[in-house]
Amino acid sequence: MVWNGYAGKILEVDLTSGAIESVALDRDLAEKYIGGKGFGIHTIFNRLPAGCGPLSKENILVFATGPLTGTSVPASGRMELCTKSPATGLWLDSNAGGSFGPELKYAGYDAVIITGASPSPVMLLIENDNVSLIPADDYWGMDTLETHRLLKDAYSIDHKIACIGKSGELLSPLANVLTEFRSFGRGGGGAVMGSKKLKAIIVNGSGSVSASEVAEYSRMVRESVNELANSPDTGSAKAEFGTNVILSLMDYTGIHPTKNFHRSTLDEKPIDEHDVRNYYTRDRACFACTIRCSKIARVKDGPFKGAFTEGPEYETIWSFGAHCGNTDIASIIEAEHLCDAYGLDAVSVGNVIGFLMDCFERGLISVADTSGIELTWGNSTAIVEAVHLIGRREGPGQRWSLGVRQLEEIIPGARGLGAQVKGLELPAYDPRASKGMALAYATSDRGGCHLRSWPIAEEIMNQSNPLGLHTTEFKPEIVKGQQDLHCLVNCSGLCLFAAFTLSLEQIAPLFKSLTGIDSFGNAANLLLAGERVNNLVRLFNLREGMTAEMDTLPERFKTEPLPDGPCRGETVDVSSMVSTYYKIRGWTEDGKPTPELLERLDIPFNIEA
Amino acid sequence: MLACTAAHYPGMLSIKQARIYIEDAWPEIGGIHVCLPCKEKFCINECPEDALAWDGHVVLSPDKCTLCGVCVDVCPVGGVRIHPQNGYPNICDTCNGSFSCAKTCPTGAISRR
Repeated sequence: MVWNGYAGKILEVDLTSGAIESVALDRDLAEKYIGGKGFGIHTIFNRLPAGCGPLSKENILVFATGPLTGTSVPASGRMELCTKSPATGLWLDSNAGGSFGPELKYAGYDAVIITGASPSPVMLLIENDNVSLIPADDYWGMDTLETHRLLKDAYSIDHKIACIGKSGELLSPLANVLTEFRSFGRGGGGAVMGSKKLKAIIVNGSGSVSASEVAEYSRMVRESVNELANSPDTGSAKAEFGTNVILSLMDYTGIHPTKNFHRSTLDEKPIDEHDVRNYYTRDRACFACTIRCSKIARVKDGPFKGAFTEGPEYETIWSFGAHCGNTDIASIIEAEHLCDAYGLDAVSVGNVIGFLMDCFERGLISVADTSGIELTWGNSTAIVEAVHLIGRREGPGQRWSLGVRQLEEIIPGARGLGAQVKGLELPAYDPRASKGMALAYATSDRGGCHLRSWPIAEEIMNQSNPLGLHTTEFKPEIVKGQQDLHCLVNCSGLCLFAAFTLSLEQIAPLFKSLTGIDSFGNAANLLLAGERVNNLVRLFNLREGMTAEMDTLPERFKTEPLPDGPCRGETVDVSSMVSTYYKIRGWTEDGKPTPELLERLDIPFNIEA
Repeated sequence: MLACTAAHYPGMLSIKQARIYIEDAWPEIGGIHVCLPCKEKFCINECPEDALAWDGHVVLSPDKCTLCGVCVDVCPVGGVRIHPQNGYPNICDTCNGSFSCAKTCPTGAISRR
């Protein structure tokens, strides 16, 4: 079979037996599930034993690219990691940019499916058709930056790497997989890799992918590049400020939570995008990306002199900043660098530290519980020390790395103080301020996450017809629509930032002219694929023990009004929005997809009712 | 690199067949390596088989080339790449003067001088 866009092969690696097999990609699978998240859920739903432990050897790790990954479509360097999450016990998919996905395509594979567990540390080396498992004892215990450097010395600078750091090896539910200094974030994918004793995947390929209708494809690529360049967001703001570009807007609108979601302002001047920009020393871009939102930031003086990171991203500026009452950017850069080195998720770790500071300030924990660290609001040195403890899982860091949901149970009196949904810590938007975000958190398939849908775009950033933050009207419609669109984007290999600017009517011809698959030329069909994948993920989550009661927010957001800022007095109750959302989705009142819906979406699976 | 590959092999999407190479030395960019037609013409002069010649850009005669790789070693700017499939040296031909790379570069980091 001739494939365009796709590489046409899937690599299967069984770490228990060491068996490596390359299987042909199924045409029907590609048409219905596109790639990325779609390949991930199809594989995991079919093959993962129901109820298996996320850190057991039965868990499956899927690294999957999309048809657009590795092509000249702008911002198409992304790929997905899919598995069962150790943080939530439910579905996890993490999307990362960089250049690992394209390299995997050039090596000839659309996806790598990893099963079993190795008895000793190994690395997976993929060089076109030569795929092997090699001992990784020398690299075990090393941080991610050192692992990248030494592997590139040992192989070549063009070998692309995805690896875990100490936190993944120590099975921390906060652990990430780092790839070319970008992260497969949230939900503990690094711990799954650690439980399989897989230190790294190294890939180098010399092949290519091909376009089907070359002239039309080239024209559509040019059009997309121009569209991205002409947008105020992707054309200039993100290039200048990175993801931090929304800092002032979020502050101004009261969406930016501070001090563990107890307030929305700080006594000090909050960090804005201009402050962060002063630390940038250069721009970077992921593969084929014209947006270049990534920055290298360096600290030139002060106690954190010499610290540097690729970032800091908006979420990190919040999690180690406002969330902890901290306004010292240098300390945030150091904290993000450490998170990268240990292989930690900076959103979750920052959220945990802010939660601990809250407990400390309330007297629920004392220096006796923190190895002597004074976890007071805004103590930047304490934040950095806490990251070290969490990264090494040392002393109190062992418990801290369990995440907010478990800490609420462990620390006496802390129940109800956490900001998490389904076990995943919330990111940088207050659900009381943005009612759309509240529903987005409550219904996200991987827990408290802002990337399944980002209704703020329609609430305040839609200049022609903003919905407003506080009404609950149309929010379920927006969230459902965005979830399906974002899901499609996560299947495709495209970056969400490009999808914010390009319309689906522009993306569909790219799919069609690249792959030559006719059904991809229809925008409604693509969106249907997104909905299909979302519903299969829902079935998976229900099978793994999720219930409709979990589609909610912590009680505190209903009972504790925001005390200050533009959204003073606001609370949020998501229950009515969630039931409307179920109706729109075609789910029952228990949040289960109906047989009619599954038939319409052509999903031939169901679960025991 | 994508633009370079596509300019020489229409419909092929890859960076491996490109005649320009951008070295990623995170957190910095290591350098942009491409033939900057030099006065000395090291590759042409050092080629033991006389397989390279100058005609506005470096031109390869594949029938003479023995894939020895001397041109790669002598180029002071890393401007000679090896084609991963056929092993021949891959040297910038300016896309017949249309410079696909410079036209595509969104930041102006690559420009014609």
